[in-house]
Amino acid sequence: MAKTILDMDVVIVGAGPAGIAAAVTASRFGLKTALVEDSPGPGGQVWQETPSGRPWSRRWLNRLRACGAQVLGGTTAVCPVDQRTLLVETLDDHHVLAWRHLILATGARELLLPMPGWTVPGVFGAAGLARLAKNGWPVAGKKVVVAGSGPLLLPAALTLKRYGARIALIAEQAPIGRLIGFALACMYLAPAKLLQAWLYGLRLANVRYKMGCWPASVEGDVCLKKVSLVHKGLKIAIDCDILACGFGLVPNLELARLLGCSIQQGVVCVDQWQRTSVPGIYAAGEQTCIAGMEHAILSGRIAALVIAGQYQEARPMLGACSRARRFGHALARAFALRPEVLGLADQETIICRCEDVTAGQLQPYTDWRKARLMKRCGMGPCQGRICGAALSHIKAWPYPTARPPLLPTRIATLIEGTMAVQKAANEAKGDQI
Amino acid sequence: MPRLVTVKIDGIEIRVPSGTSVAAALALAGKQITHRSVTGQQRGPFCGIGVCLACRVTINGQPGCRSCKVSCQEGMEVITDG
Repeated sequence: MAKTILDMDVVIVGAGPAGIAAAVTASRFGLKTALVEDSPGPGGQVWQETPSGRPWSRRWLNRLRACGAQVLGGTTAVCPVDQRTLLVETLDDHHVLAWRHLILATGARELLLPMPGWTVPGVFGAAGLARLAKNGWPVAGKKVVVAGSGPLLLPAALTLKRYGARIALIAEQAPIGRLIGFALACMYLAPAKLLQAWLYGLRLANVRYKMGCWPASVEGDVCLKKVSLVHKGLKIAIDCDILACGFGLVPNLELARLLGCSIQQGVVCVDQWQRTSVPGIYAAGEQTCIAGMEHAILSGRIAALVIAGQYQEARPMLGACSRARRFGHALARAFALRPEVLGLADQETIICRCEDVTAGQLQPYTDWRKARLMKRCGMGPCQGRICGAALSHIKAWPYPTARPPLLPTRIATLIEGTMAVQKAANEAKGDQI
Repeated sequence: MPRLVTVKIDGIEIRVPSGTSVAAALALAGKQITHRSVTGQQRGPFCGIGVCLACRVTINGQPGCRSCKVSCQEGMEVITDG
């Protein structure tokens, strides 16, 4: 099967708020734009289109539909083939995208931390379970403990409740004092968010919300039976069906790392115009700063405007974008993880879920290289996405290096994609002669 | 009412609303286990957003597909390792 290369002015990876805002903006200036999205449809974790989709997300999704950008849904970025191409794969096909400008808008994922029993079926990410429920996963009638940290626990709990789950408890590890400080900071930095939190509070009025409370272990064999939590120094045990547990967000940096973009303090380094350290590559949204939707939209728009050379239009957005980033920093301080939740795993607790490597087995090692060589830690199908994020918090190990392909890939994709790029390069050489 | 599609899960047909993820269809069919870990433990969907690959199953003969990231299509055949 001979594959053609799709020539694009702008390729955007990730169709969440940042990617969509970038695609809509770039298309406005006649740039030929492709938007690559891993999920079947655009929207990302916040704007995903469901039968019960919200109007404010629909507005941007409608703009995207009308803007003329090519949306490649169900399409996973595999790896770059050369400096200006990206190999992507679908369930039964693959393409090579050639780009002049690349915008990384790969967003963030939940930080999932190991604790005894966390591999038992019935333990999920908090926002992750909400996402599963939106796509039809049956939570109706299930008794759910929502736990972890960060403002996302509230919308996650609300979504689960809307789909019929019984929320037994929402446990936030951050202490009440820091949350009050954060609320005060929000009055200036993001008053709309404060209002949103209050509305969530109203809709979850009859659900217990405990601050300074965190899950310690999970019991169950084939399915989850009981969750133990710690609150005010005491252990609480709750019989339930599901633990939905996320400890905040960590950026998806795998592609940026593979492309050689400079990464510092856990985020992609960008200048005020969202340019990364690699010429032609921009980054927007959560992978540059975990700061929420407004920041994602602004930074996506700025990146696209800069590509279109419209600095005049971008300049007035810089102030709002930097304020959104300050909100992100306040968020990180308020929901900083307490040492207790980083030390939940005991010797038998599995850290690398792909290769079943326990905390005890990892004890002799002090870095990724040895842990990989000796125990295959982080070398399974997820390529260290889960244990890498966990270990960077627990042991302060820097993330493992990213290697192509980014996810398990069909061999045909790699062979045919590489051949297509080589053929194009040879033809270009022939033209020059 | 959304349109229904028929998918075959481990040989048993189930009808689900179109737009349902394969992971959700598995749960609706009573299958919470998607694969066994390298040491033989039973595992099901975990991160919910396509990162952890715990929900991987074989779809239309192709192994290692993330069931949370794929929508059910008419006639799809899904095989779990549970």
